[in-house]
Amino acid sequence: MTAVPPQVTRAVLEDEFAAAVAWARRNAPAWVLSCNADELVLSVRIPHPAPGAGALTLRADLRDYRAMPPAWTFTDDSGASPKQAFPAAGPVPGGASIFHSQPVICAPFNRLAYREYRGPHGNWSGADSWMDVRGTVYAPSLADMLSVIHLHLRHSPGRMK
Amino acid sequence: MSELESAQGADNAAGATLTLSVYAPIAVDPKTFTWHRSTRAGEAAAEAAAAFGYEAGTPTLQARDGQVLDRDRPLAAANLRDGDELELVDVGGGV
Repeated sequence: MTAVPPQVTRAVLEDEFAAAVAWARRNAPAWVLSCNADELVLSVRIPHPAPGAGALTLRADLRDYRAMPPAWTFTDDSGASPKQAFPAAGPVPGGASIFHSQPVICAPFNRLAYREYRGPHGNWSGADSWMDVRGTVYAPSLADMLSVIHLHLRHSPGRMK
Repeated sequence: MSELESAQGADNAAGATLTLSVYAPIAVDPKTFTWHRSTRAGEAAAEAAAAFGYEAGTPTLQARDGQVLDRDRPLAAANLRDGDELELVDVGGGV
């Protein structure tokens, strides 16, 4: 797969980040979104809705986006992604939670869910065909991805243990 | 009496249609739609999603109070009023 020139991703990011900010303002006003266009990283500080669960840090590596989906993960204060940085799965309308125990956000819009990136999914066609995956959540933009994460987080009982 | 018949009966008193503003994550601005109150939420969401350019997914509508509408139930079941603002959400589920 040919790498996407960073300036192309930055142009996409400019459009999509504006929609993501607008989405957050409407639906998740306590979320703090920040975008580092130079490093192509989107970060979101999220108060977990469960009492006592504290704040989560969601991070997306956007290199090669949109040819590849972002690499989404939750991180701790050191930037690592241990289990405890992730929300636990809860019962979600429509099916299973995207918060997999690996731990990983298990959705076609997450590069890290694909087997070639050490994720659990070898049954999807490959990260470069992420927009063609059917039968699960569909999120074609950064704001849509945040919307799915938000919906699943609302049903999360706390942090993964 | 079925839920659909009940919704249609309520139409006579409450007005047959609902005009709603729908936001989608992919866009900053909403679009306005008018649906019959008996329209199922999934059908309304699919129409709205297509209007916003979505090509796939399992959309439904979410009310401002966070209520995620059951795709198989009519809009009338969600206590919506003309002018209400809704958000498209995907309920495709994880794997």
